[in-house]
Amino acid sequence: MDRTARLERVRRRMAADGVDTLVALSSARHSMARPDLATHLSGFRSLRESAFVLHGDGGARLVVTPSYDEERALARRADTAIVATDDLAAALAQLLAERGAKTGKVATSGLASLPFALAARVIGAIGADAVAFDEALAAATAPKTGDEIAHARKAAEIAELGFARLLEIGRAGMRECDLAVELNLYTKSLGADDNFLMMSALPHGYGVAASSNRPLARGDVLVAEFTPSFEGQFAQICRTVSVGAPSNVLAEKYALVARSMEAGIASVRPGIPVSAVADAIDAVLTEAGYREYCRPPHMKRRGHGMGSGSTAPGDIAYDNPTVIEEDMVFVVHPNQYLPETGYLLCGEPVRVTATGGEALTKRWAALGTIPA
Amino acid sequence: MQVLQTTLLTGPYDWDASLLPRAEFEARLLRVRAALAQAGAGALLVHGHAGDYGALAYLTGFVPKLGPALALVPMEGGIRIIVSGTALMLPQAKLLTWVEDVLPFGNVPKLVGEWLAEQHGATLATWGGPSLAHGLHRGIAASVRPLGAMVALDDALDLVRRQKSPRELDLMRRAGKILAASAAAFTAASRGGAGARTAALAAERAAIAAGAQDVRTLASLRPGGAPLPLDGAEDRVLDPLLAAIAVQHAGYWAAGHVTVANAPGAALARAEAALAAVLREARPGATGDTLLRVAETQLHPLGPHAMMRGAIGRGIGLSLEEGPALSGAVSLAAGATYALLVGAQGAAADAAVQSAVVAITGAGAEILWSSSRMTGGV
Repeated sequence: MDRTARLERVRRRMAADGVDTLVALSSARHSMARPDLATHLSGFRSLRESAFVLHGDGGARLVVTPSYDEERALARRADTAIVATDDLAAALAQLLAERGAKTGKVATSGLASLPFALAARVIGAIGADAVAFDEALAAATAPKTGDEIAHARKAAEIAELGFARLLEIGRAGMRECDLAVELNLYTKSLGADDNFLMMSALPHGYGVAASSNRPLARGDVLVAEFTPSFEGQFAQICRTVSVGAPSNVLAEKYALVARSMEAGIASVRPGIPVSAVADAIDAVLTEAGYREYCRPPHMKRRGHGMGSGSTAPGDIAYDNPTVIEEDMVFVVHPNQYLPETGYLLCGEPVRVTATGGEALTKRWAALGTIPA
Repeated sequence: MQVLQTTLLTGPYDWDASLLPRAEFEARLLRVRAALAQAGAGALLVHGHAGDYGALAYLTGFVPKLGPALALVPMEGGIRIIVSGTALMLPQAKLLTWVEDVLPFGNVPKLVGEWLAEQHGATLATWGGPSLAHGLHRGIAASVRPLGAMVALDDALDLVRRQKSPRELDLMRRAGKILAASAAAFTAASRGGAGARTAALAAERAAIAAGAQDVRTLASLRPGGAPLPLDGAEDRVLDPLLAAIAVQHAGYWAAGHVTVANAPGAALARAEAALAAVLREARPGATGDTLLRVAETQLHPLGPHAMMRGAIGRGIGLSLEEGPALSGAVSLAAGATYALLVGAQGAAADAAVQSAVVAITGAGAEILWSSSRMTGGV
């Protein structure tokens, strides 16, 4: 699927819901984990608030602020008509007024994320009767385009190189934050335009967090979510590293968590509910005697979608009934607390093919070691 | 200077009492409470997010790395911080602040309502409120409405934090030195034939090596183009190349612009002269109009660069744009810090921007960083 085909899917969904004009809004507070369907549709990460306006009968416009960012918008989105402005609400009002009666029924996405004063002005511009279209839009745009899949593949390659770099330079005594900053600079040098790098270490952790100033120490278990973005498309790998030689227990339990991940990835195919992937992971851990650890707070989710503003298909969780479609991309990560070891991370980004799941990484998670 | 928001802040942000001791925050709290009392407010809600957390950091030191965060400030007693992320992330979140009462987001409107009820329904002032997301604001407003009024107090409280303490000025001087190292690395890389992206990376590496906790670089996308985010993989060699660099040290930003040209044209000479003239004029009471006139006189016969449109500078400190925008009758204030910007647009690609970070003193300005020092123009 390409971008034109995606927009056609959206138009079909708009027609089915009686929507004539879609105004997808971005707060420009870019996130790997929160939907931003304006960015997803436009393929452009704006400096300040922006909107992607799509008409059911054809045209599309990307409205960007501030106006001086027009040059970048034109360079990045040569295939889209750009409106550059310093007043998003006024520009939207003008765009809709130009269409007159053809504007018809208006739907929005992302309105709740806008700064509230701007949101009030946008509501004034598009009409208080505009309907929220977030869920429908997320569903219609869940599969990735060919370009996005290629970018996810590149992002996964950068993530793997980033992890190799961690094993190369990481050592006891380094502060978590200094290691994280160095890894971010490295992934940037490989072409990443962002990196959601959650990385923390403790001898017995209960989760993963943003890096602190704490120095790594012998006996720590370092957990990391590498999530570089390439051309706006994120791909995540999850890894665990022992600071100093790992204990036998740590090695054994990590192998268990890795097996559960493999079971999860093996279960991926179009047509099944997302919950089935979580169930496949849980089955391995349950078989090993960890049934009670297969629910929060011992784990949060078994993976999640990721993209340039789209988090489809949502969390890989036992209670997510979303049906998996071909060309969805998500990370499968057991990310599990075990009483003997603390929190362990392993995860791979997966693309859904016509018949199964294809990991975008070349080398799957294995317990790493850095010098103590 | 506006930068593309990243999805996660990764630098050293844990509260360092040797840089900003608790007494510094307590003094700030006293000033803020005095402003609240003067405005008739009995409690304060402070909002920050990963893209702008200046007000939140001013009072608490807390930096929201991941998403929005709120501080609830009573007239007496301790501050409470509510942060994005799960309860499992709280131990790391608590390292970011001197405040002891830190809670995960959960049901924020309910948390705010319950807390305000404990303040006996006082009028709730807000700071950083305009950037509150519509959905969150709607929920908080609904929970506050039965208890009392909610009033924005940004103007009054921004004035309080605009006045820098000696300790803050020291940190900004340090940020200025880091900016100098970063800008020098950018210039050297570009003069050595590097593409814009490679030069930006060199600037970022130099800033981190010099002690920055965060650094952002924008650069031209075409010869002489205004600095913009480098969010693509392109790495073009451009001449002239304009860049904007922002570095952060202990929460405090210094931001500046450099122009690298192999054969400098008229624009760079005019921009350098304009910056020198503006710096000579920078003193308490100098208005945006005055500074603009001084700059335009030096820029003539070239026109002002589009980046000067709207303002010739802005406040800078814990936020990259701390306000106010220097235009019209808005004037420089003693004790405040500013990023000043001039630029010239000549024929075709002949464009240049120059800037400085200054602290306004009783009679003039202390230059914390100036791009003229990069080119030897002043």
